Parts: sequence; structure tokens; C-alpha cells
Amino acid sequence: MNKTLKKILVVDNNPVMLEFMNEILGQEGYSVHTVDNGVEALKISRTFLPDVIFVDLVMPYIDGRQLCTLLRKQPELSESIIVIISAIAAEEPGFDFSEIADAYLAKMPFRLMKPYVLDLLQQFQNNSSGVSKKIIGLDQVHHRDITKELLFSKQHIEVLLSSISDSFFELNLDLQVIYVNEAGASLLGLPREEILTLYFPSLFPPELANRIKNIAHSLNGKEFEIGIKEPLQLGDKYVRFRFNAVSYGRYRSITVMIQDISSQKEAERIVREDLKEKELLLKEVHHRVKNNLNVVASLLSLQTSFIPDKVSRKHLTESRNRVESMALIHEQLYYTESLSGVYLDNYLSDLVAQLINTYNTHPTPVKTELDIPSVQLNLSVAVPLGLIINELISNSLEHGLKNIKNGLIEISLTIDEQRCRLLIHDNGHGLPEDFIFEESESLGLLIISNLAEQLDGSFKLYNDNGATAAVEFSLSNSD
Amino acid sequence: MNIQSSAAEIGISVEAYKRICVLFIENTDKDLLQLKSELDLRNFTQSAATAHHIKGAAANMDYEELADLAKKLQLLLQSGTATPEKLRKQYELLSQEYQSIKEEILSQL
Repeated sequence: MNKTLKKILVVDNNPVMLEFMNEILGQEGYSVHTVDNGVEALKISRTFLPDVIFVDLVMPYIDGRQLCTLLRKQPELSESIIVIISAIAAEEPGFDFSEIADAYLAKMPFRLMKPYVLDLLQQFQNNSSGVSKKIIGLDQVHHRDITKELLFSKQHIEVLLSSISDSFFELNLDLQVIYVNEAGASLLGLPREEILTLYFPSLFPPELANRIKNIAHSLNGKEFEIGIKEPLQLGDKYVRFRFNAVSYGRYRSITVMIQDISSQKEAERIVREDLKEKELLLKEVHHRVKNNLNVVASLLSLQTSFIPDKVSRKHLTESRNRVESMALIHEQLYYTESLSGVYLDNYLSDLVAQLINTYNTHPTPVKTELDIPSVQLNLSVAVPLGLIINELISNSLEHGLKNIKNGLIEISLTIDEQRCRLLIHDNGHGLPEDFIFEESESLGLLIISNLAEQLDGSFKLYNDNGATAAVEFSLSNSD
Repeated sequence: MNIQSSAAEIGISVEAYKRICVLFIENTDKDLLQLKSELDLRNFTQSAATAHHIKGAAANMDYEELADLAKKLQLLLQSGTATPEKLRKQYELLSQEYQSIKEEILSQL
């Protein structure tokens, strides 16, 4: 069946070759369009709808094989004849091109080429299916056997880029897509041949498109990333972009790598939910510990009321206070958000109020002045410190301020780097003149001494218009 | 090389062949400059691609000697044995051959 071939597209990056083809085909009355790269070829072919397309194999951006494959997939070009025209023919004479092209003409010196080109077109006019599937004009080409190395290197990079899971795009300076890997096509949900030549920003929602446009135009040879702190949402996916300017010789382009971090984001969400669940459980544990300690304190209190002996009752009350000072920590932990520790100012304020209430036997109410910074202490520091303060304030209330009017307890804490200094001073009777700390048989002082040691600290008691207790300890225990 | 006989041999007008010759000179001038700067930067992959481009254009125009010199340079770049001295020598041979072709063409334009 005869076929009328009128429109011819020639794709070759050699302008001399394009001029030659334009001349010999124009002479014969064909309407000829020439372009020097695959991207332009894809663009023009959608409107020019050529009857025949001559394609060189070694070209920048999209190489000839890839271009033939992409042209073959264009529905509007289903009737177009594709002819490979390349000098690489001499290097691989057995190359099976039938999947991607209708004919293969070896690129030869101009003085020999015209009759081959015209004869081939004539053959297609006469019988579109009867053209040889062997490379035409092979005997006119010199064997140089080096071009395929260049093509191999290009194909090798193509295979590498296809195998990565990140989306990779290359754009020309007009921001048209000149390369996209499989992952990129899959991310956008479009076939590769439809993405090529498109204006890259137009592939994204308007706000992101504007951002991409601004970044791409202001790269100035640098690298730029977006979506690092807060990933960008593309449909149901979370992504981040990395832009790079490419420059070598006269070549300029922009690469865009899009990393799909949806699975990472999902993993973070699971970890966050997991953590929230653990926090709830931990709060519940603190709540229960506090309740149980309060039960122990209540039992001790109940037991006290059944004991006639005053000294024994005193000992049980002291023990109950110790238990309550610990219960208070768990109560405060239950109410804090971080669960990592209690705020010392809040804790001490509640603890002191609780103790004053327990020892409410003074002629006038004992006043307290607290100068405590709002530092957060974890359990390993808060529990021993709470017990120490419990003992010292109990001593002041029970002994130091006994029968004292206008009693005052001052509590201050200073932090110098990792060392803390706690001072508790009362304006009471002071220590007995014959008091020797090391020889004291008080359980309270023994407890203080041991707990200070546990905090890698020291403890001193001295008179200073009343009694003063100084405890120095290290915050590093809170690690 | 004679422009008139070459045009006749190809089967195009003398004017058309002159246009092709001018394009060949313009592009090969640019390619040689680019090749020189790529060789200076020791960018061998890109140099090989540019040498390949020169070779293709020369072969089309039937300048076999120029095409062979470009091919030798391309092979040298792809061999992994290129020393600066060898590259400089090969580039000089290529450049000299091209200059004589260019002079011959320009004298007939």
C-alpha cells in the first residue's frame, strides 16, 4: 500500500548534519523540521506530527534509543516512521532495533548519504512494512569502535538512576524536564514520556510550584533543600526536595532529587503514639505508688493513735512524714507533663506546708521563706533530697523552734554549674553547746548523712543566730 | 577539497554546501575551544564526548584524517593511560589538521 510521506523531523545534535538533511530533504519537497535534542523533539512532535523521524543515537539529555522508545509510546505518533541514523552502526552491526525503530541507516560521509536517505523514504512510500530490518549503508562507514563506550557509560548511569528509590529529575534552564527516572514518574503517577519537556513547577500544586520556581531561578551554582524540618505533603506522600545546579563546559542544567519519606514519617508517628502510651502507663504507675505510700502513711498514723508511749508515737510520726515526703514526689510526677522529674520549687513548697501542718504545736504559726529556683530534678536526686529536707525541717519544727514565738525557717538553694548548695536556717534555739555531730545518735541525722553521701555531697550543721544546715550535692546524679 | 565538486558529489547547490562548510567551521571552532578547556580541567569523560563530536562532524564532511586524529584522542582519553604530555601532543595534531582544513575552506568561500 502506498503511503504519502510529507513531514520529516530530524533529531541530531550536530548542526552540520541538520543543515545537510534540511537541504537534501527540502530539495525533494518535504516539509522538514530539525531539532538538536530529544527534549525538543518530543515537544515539537506533539504538534508537528511528522510522518518520518530521523534520530541520532548519541545526543545530550535524552539519547537516541531512549528517545525512540518514548516516541514509540506517543499515541499520536503511532503512524510515524522512526529511522535511526547513526555512525555507531559500524560498532554493533547485529543491533536489533526492531522494537524501537522501523529502519537504521548508518551515518556516512555526506557525499554518499543523499541517495541512501531518499531511497529509504521511497521504500517506505511504496511499502511501509517491507523495509529491511538490517542496518542500511553499513559498508560505507569506517569502523572506529569507540562510540559505544560513550553510549555504554550513558546507559550505565541510566541504569543506576533507575535503580534508586529517590525520584530524580534533570531540568534545563527553562525548567523543562529533560530527564526523569522511574521513581520520579511513579511519584507523579505519569508515564516518563509525558513528563519529559513539561514545565517542572507545573507538576506540583500552585504554592509549591511558586516555591520551586523561585528556588530554581536563584540557585547560583549552589545546593538548596526544602522539606528538611517539615516534610512537604504531595497527595498522600511526605517528601523533601534537593536542588543542585549542574555546570560543565557550555552545559547547564538543574537536578532535583525528591526523597519520599512517608514511611519514615509513619514510623515517627508510631513511635510518638508508643511513647504517649508509655507515658500514660508511667503516670499510672506514679499514681499507684503515691496511693500505696499514702496507705502506708495512713496505717502508720492509725497505728500511732493506738500507742500510749509518747516516744514511740514520735518515732512513728517521723516515719510517716518520711513516707509522705516520698508520696509527694510521686504525686507531683503524676501531674508533670514530661515525667522526667519534679520541679524543686513546687515540691519544696508543698513539702514544707505539709510538715508545718503536721507539727502544728507552736504558740504562733511558723513562717517560711523559700528561695528555690525552678529546676527539674529526676527521682534519683529528688527522693533523697526530699527526705533530707524532711528531716531538717522536722528537726527545726520539733526542737529548734520549740516554744519560740515568730518562728521562721528560711530555705534557699543555689546552683553553680553542676553543684547545688541547700541552706536551711531557723531562728530558734540553735544547737546545744555540747553538740558533736559525729557523736550524735539521732536517726534523723544518720539518715541525712547517708543520703548526702548518696548524692555525692556533704552535710554541715552549725549555729548562726539559730541553727543552719548546709547540704552540698552534685546534680550529675540526675543523669 | 573543492567546494564546487563536493557540492556536486553530494547532490546539493554550491550555496548550500557553503552554508554547511560555515556551520562546520563555527561548530568545530567551538568544540576545539571546549575540548581545550576540558583537557585543562582533566575532565576526561567530557573531553572524550567532545572529541567524539568533532570526529562525527569530520567524518560526515569526509575529512578522514581529522576524524582519525579525533578518534585517537578519544581512545587515549578512554584508555586510562593519558598523560598530560600525550594529551597535549594529540590535541596539537588535531588542532593543526583542523587549521589547515579551515584555511582551505575559507579560501574558497
